[in-house]
Amino acid sequence: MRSRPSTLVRILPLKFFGVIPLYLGVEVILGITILNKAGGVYGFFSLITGHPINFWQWVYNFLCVAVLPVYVSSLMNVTTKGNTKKFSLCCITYVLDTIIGLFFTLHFGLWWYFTEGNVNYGERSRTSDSVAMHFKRANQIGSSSSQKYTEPQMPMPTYGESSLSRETFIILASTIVVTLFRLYFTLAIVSFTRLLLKQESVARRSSERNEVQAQGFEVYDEGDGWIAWIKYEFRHLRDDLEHHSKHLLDRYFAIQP
Amino acid sequence: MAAATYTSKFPGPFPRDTATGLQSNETGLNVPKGVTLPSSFSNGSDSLSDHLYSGGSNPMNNNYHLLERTELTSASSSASSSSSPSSLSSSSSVFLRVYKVIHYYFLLEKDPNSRLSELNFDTNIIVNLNYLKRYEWSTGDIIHYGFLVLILLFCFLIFPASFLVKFPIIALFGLMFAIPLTSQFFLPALPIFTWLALFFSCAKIPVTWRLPISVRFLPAFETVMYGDNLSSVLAAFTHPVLDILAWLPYGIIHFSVPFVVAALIFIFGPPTSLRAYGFAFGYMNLFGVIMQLLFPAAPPWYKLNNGLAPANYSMGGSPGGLARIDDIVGFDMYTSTFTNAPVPFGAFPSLHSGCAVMECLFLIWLFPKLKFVWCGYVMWLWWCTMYLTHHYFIDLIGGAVLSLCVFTYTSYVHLPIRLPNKFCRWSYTEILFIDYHEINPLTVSVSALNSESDIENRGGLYSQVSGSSSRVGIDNYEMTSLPRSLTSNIPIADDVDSASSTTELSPPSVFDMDAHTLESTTSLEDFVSTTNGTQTGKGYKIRM
Repeated sequence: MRSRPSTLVRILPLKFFGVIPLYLGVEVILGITILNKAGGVYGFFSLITGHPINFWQWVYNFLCVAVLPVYVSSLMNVTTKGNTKKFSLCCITYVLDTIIGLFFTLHFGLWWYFTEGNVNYGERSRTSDSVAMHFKRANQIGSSSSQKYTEPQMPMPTYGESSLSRETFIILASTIVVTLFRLYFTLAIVSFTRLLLKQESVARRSSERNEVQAQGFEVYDEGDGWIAWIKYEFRHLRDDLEHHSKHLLDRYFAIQP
Repeated sequence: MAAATYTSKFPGPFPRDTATGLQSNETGLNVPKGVTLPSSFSNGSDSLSDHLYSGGSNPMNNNYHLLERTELTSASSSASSSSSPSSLSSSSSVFLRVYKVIHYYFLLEKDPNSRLSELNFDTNIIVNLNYLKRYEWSTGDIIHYGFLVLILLFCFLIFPASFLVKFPIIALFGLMFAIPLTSQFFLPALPIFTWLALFFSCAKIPVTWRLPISVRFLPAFETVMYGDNLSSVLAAFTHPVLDILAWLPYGIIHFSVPFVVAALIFIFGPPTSLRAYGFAFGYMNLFGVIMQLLFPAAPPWYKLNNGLAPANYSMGGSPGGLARIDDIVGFDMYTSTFTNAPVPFGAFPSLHSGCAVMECLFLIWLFPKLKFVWCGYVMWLWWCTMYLTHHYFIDLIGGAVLSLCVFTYTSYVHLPIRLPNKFCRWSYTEILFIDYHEINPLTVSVSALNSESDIENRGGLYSQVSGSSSRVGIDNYEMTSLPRSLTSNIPIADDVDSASSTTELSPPSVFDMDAHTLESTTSLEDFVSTTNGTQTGKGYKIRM
């Protein structure tokens, strides 16, 4: 058990990009992640707009929204003392999210390649066709006005045209670079969580205070109503997940309690 | 005792609107009787700054403090009264009435001994020129101003106007930077001016210099990363009501919010926070335009109109969904503007998103309790940009990430700490900045954590952060007079002790709602002087 983390520890970053304190990097990483996950909310709008999305897109959007509370909660507590449980849950969520995200990237990449990736210049992509029709129809409302959406002009052979190979290269390179960044961000989160756990363990031992902090579980009273019940259940689930996450990571990093 | 003299870490060669925590007593006008200024204030203050901000020659200051004393008397006699003071009731001037209201609710907060919140009304150019001569340029200053001057020089050369037109404009701007009254606003806004200059010069850059326009990248990358083209999802259904809902933030609110946020920061934020906003807002937009120039990319409306056909610089822009707004209102509000846009193929990153996120982050910092409202505004604006087919989701994320990075840097380097017990700009008697080394939750060096034995030999982790704690600021405030907002929040001594003994040290984070509920120590040992200020050992610095 001890040998496994040591391999990982060697590649964990101790500073964000070698210079920035790790906790600052974690703040930025979580901020970026939260912004990215907001895309899931807009994906659900397809229910209203009628834009077709497939099963895997639904799953992706759902997962994005589901992990948002974990990241938001962690971001609010980056510098808070005693945040090890919260970050344990965040760390495990982030690792799983990254692994699942890589599969989704691969899946969506292949899907894009076979639907749009080999569409020649001048052709409309299948996905944009219906939108373009709708868009133009919408613009014809109030057609008496002179302010019309102008018909597309045929591109003149002039400066600025990008070649297919250049575009494809940029798409592939960007995907690889973003994926590498994502892996690095995951390592930074793992490193930060590991150091927090280690620090807490050392502090506990050195101060000879082995007592576990009493968890202030609130007791649900039936008279409080169903909203209170939901809150109680949510907090209970969150505390439970955080506790188990910390226990799991303590074992993984071979940190003595 | 609080820091007496404040010198901004913010890069700049000219003196700013605040120089010292206390005003000079040479004028004898603004120091109440019985108040003795500590000698350290006069010793530590800069003579030029004293000259600049003495206020003795400023009639507004005299009137102000005359009023303030009257107000104080009136307010103390009826503390809970909401009516305005009666000393100036004989005057029927609307201006005076407005001034009285502002005075009652804001200026009365001001400590009469503190000049931190005052503006500089000096118009003597010599003062700034002398200051410039004596100014010691740091590496940060050179990078900051060197970069901005290079961009401005590029705009100056590229803009196709006669030198007879350009030089007077440059001279006028130079004058604004030379006069202390105007330079206190123009200098912090220099990144914003640079961004505007570059943005409006973009169209004048020769096409032979420009890079190829990417048409396929953004929709493809968005599909790979997010599983779909979200702009297509949101633009698939249009309705006039949705058009109006999309137009309001995208076409109207977006252009006015930066000014509103600036005004709110000036009024409710600590002194110097508006400079941080100007710095962050300007640099975010400047970096955004540079990225748009280096990576030209077509917005969603291009794909809807032209498919994946290559774009070129002979093509104009398009109003996208805003053309429907022109139809609704019946006149050309956007079509011409967007058709002749300076950067028609500048989809990535979205500066609409960047601005909205920047405003959101500053508003969360300023009014954390309303954070859901500010985040809701960002979500609303994101929906608008995609619905109106002006940006892909990846553009929005690009702008938002750019904003986040610039804001994070600004918040840890330039942005003062907003104290929850301070009501407005005039409530502050000192300015605190986050010390990002001190609030690091990993309080022991990383290498030490990797070898636990080292830590144990050092006698434990928290020996390094031990120390008595009490609420910060209480011991640091000048106790000669206390603003209203402070008096209601000062715990009595017993409360301070009990609060400090039960509260664990929780360093502030800029993202934390209660981030800046500070804790400090009364112990002098924690006040370790550094070059940039005084480290308190509790997560913030007082600039000396």
